[in-house]
Amino acid sequence: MAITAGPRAWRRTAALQGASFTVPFFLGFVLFSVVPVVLALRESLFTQRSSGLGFGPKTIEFAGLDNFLRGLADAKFWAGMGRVGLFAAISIPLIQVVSVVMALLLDAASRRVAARFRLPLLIPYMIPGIVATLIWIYLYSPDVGPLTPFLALLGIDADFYSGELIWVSIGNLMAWGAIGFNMLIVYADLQSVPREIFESARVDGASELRVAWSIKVPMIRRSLVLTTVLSIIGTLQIFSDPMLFRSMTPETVTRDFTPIMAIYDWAFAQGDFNYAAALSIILALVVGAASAVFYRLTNKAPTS
Amino acid sequence: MNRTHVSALAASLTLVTALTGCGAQEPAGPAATASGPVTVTWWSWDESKFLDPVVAKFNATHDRIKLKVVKQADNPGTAANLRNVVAAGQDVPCLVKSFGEVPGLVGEGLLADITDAFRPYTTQGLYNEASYAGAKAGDRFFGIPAGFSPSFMMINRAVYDKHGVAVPKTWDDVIAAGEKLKKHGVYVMNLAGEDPSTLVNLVQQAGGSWYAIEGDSWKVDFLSPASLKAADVVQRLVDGDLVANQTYQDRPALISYFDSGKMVSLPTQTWQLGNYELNFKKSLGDWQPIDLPQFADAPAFVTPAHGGALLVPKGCPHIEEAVAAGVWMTTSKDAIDASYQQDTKQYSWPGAVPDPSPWIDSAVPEKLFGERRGEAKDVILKATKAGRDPWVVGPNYTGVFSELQDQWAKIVTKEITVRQALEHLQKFTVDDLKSKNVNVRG
Repeated sequence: MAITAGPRAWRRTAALQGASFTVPFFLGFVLFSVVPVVLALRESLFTQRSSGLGFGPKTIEFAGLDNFLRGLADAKFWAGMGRVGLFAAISIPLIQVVSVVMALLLDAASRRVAARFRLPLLIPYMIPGIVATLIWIYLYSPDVGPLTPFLALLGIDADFYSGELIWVSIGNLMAWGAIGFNMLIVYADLQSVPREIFESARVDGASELRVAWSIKVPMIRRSLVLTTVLSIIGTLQIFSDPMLFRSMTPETVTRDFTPIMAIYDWAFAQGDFNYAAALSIILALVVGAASAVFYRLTNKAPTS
Repeated sequence: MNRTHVSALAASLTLVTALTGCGAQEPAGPAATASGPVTVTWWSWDESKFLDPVVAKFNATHDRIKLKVVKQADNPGTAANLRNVVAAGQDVPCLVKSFGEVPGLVGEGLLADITDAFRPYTTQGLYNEASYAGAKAGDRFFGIPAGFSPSFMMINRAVYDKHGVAVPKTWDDVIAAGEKLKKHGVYVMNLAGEDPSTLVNLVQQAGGSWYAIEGDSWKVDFLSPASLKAADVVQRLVDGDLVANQTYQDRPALISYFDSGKMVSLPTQTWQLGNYELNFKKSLGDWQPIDLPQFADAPAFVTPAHGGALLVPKGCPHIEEAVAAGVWMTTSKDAIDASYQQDTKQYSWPGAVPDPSPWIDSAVPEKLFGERRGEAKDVILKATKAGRDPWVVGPNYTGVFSELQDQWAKIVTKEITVRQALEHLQKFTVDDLKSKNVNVRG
């Protein structure tokens, strides 16, 4: 290659070369994320209309924002949203607290002990979600699972599939998968905090609890925000867990139990892709707004 | 999520073993048919052991048409795949095992009008009259009739006798039996939370239908006298805590529950018997086939006999060949004989033919009914002859059925009454039809 260009052009070439490494990612991103979003946006603006007895060919008409208005007034969709929102409001803080406590315990332990626990705690996260759900569905089954007879021995009559317990069952499954991951992120962040700060606090007479609460937790605020936002996004879009639970307990987990289940039902059980596309966009806006609000509220103060 | 609700309807469709599909790889048009045999592709989620012998027999006896089966994962998977290929207009199969009601699927724009190709077969005495309705939308055919499976009941007579409970003849008797059995910790029936077929079958047995065509408009009536009569039976069973709610999704758990003696009456059809025979351990020989209980005021003995269909999708390039293959599958002795299964010693129930009696004996397993096996033949024949199909559904029934499933779940968990569910469905159905610009009254 002839080196004739000046340093500026050279820098540009280098930058382009660097950027070229992202091409495979961007191709995939455009093809599997941007294009479907554009297609969904287009679909959401149309509707299929029948006539007469409804057996003849259908016409596809431009519907403007009709599908969105219908979605905004869809009580069942919003009931699912509320159900999941409430679940998120309870489960995410619980999972976060447990993750942080575990990370702090690991951090307080010696490196050798920590290494011994880190991997086992992450194993649930490594198991694919569907497999994990199938495992738990079996464990929960009142007919063939081991938990119901075990609890019966203790005099507890628990039906994990009942309306009262179904979210506890799903929440337990989610926590089982999520705690290890969140804990690892928080733990890694804790490890990057300079140890001298803790030392000086101890010299000043701070107890380990005080060090954890007043120094360590504020120091890991960013990773807490990150894991919480990821949890919010994941939880509001919860789908495969309740979908599999539905196969075992359809009388509790209805087809529109969560927003994505409702969208899935409209698209693939009832064949109304236009309305399903509109609901998808509404859900994306809600998830985006919830994440943005949380990010705003928690990220105002300066952090390390 | 296999939502394959084992409704009586789906059951009869299952049996049907529909076949043929249009040539997936062949271009449409007469040019393709002139050059050699036409390949008809058939989609089904039945196990290969049911499909392969039928396909082999067809291909061995036909030169001009070849049948190719494409195995599908399950009911919802078939539905999703068919919607995709019909929308794409490519690789459309020509015969598909039904995953819904014909009018509902026509309403979705998924099926081809095969009336012209099929009508000649209707004058040849191949089909029983009751089987036609299930393959039509309005007065046009969109599928090949697959017929119905006769409905009767089997009861665990040993448990009935142990507690001194009389064999039920009416639904009132069933409820009375349930009240007596409840004291012994036994449920009289099972109502699965995902499967509203008990309600649907009762409405049909009462001679009702939720939809009717009047002129160029639909009339929707979920609150007709027949519908409310059916609702009353279900409500009393639920209110009295007389029924179990075991799901059909977990088959092994369900079968072992049925076998346990804790639930003692099963509305059933011939296709289910082989499975019970194979998997029951404790209660084998304790069961008795009896006539389906009737409404106390029924003027004549009636069983619900809503037929299914072998679907012919829109975009099938070889409709005539598909119909020929489908008719062969649903009516020919060759096809029925080829469906014989060594393990259950059963044929797929020939629900579409005028006289299924040659196959009845094999439909009754050896041990399930013990010394009462001899009674089964009469019970089944009587049920076949008493089959009536008043059932009509509208173009939005796919969605309405999903709604019905969710409402049914609330009924069995006592969140709402059957009447409330029906009132909801009335409004839901009418609103939905209106939103689709379909003519409706009600």
